[in-house]
Amino acid sequence: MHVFPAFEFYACGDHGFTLDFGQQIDININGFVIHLFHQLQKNRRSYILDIIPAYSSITVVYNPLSFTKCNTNPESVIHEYFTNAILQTENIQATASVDIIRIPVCYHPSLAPDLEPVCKYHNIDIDTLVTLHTQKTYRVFMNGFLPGFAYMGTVDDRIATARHSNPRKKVAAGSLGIAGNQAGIYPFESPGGWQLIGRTSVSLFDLHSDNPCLLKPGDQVQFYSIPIESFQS
Amino acid sequence: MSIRIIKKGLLDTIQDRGRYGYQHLGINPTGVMDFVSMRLANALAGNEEQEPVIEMHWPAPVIRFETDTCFAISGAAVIARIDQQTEIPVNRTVFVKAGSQLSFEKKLSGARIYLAVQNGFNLTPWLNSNSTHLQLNHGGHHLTTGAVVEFNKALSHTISITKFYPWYIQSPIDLSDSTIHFTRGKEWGLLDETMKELFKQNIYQISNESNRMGYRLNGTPVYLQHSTELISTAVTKGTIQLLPNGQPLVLLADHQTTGGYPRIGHVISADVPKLAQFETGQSIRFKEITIEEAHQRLKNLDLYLKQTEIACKLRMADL
Repeated sequence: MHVFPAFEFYACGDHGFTLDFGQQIDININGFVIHLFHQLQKNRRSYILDIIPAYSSITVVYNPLSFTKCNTNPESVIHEYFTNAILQTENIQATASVDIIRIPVCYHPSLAPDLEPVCKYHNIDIDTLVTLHTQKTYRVFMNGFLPGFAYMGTVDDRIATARHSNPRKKVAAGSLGIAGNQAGIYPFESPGGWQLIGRTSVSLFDLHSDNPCLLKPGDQVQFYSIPIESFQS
Repeated sequence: MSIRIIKKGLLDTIQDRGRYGYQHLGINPTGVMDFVSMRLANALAGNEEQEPVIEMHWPAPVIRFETDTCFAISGAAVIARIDQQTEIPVNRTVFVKAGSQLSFEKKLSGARIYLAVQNGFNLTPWLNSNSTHLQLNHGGHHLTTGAVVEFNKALSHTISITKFYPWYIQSPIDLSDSTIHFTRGKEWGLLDETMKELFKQNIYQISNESNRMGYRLNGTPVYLQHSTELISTAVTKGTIQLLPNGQPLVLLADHQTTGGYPRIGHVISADVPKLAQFETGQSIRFKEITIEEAHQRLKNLDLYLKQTEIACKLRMADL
């Protein structure tokens, strides 16, 4: 694997520490983040409340009171916890192959209010947009914003579109949106500013499962087009 | 063996210390806004500190105890009554008989009221927590008029008249001091000296757009030397984000797991409960301390609460 990238280690208040690889959205960097995440999870410590991977950073949330009895310094303990995980990550030879999660999407103006405006903006027809959007495999870089919401990339430059400056008050559950080169699906009805180009009836978040999210950091996703007749809301 | 909401309040939910361990999936922890008052209410009700409680706002609900109950209220300073007669003090252990109705007449200060019942509520946890996730409307219980919450266990003796234990406890939250302590955030250094000073001198008013997700503050705008957009990183409870309009947003219990606004600081864990008791329109000021000092303050607060918990246990065992 590549040389471990440069990073900064800093406090996130009095109950968190972040390892940050800088301001970049990069598949290799994100790969390191996700390897680190799995290493940290595997060696989880009792003082850890959460481990949160993002595009190019990973944050550990800890309970400061866990350190009061033994009178140790959380910073040095957590720094060591990260260092051990980094050493483990360096030993990983290649990225494990992951299954591709295939998601049916109905690209139809009646379900996707921004489909026609986005096509018009790029001066293409709907079929071309669908081809450009479905021929790629997307990587889940991180979860955030809403439970089960996955930030995926990267959307082809020929259809990439900036988000709305005024977010919608209501976006339907299952809406597939793009924001710049990012793609994402709203697991629930919520406010949102992404350009809505399709909709899926696949459930992204199952409240009754111990493993509630369909999409997790590091997953590979491909979309395929279904006709409106096959769409069940 | 239950309570019934006769008339719902502004926002009444079951909360515990939060649903941790799932933020990597975008599942935010939620939980009580003020863990100090939660612990006090539990100590007075004879519970362990992590027992789920009802968090209430103003206007507060009207609640009927369907069975003989031992309970305590903590948090905001309120005038509460049983059957619109006997006044119920805050931070006291109270016993009432079945059919008693609790109503809140007046609020003197504070933003949130906590109710704990002895032996706790009988709830079905979701992902190891009984905190209400309002956005998902799942976990815990968002209480509306007519809602019934069962108890885990009945009292071992019957109650014939409303009574209190002859002691009360003092909350360590002092709302007369509007200082909120913070530690530096990653982007603090992107403020120039004038702006750093302005942030610390500002008297910030809590905006009416504040809620359980976060407090929006209004003061003289503070800007970074060069406006910057960051890719999303994790944010936590207490993170002070600087919005593009120059005003801070302090993230609280229902905050999102990640964010991209500059993190100029973090409210210390020991001051989050106090901040959560300040209301819309009230003013606060920030004071910087080190992380070591922040840990010391949290340790002292925890020690005070532990002593209170032990004192309550010993007193109750005596009776």
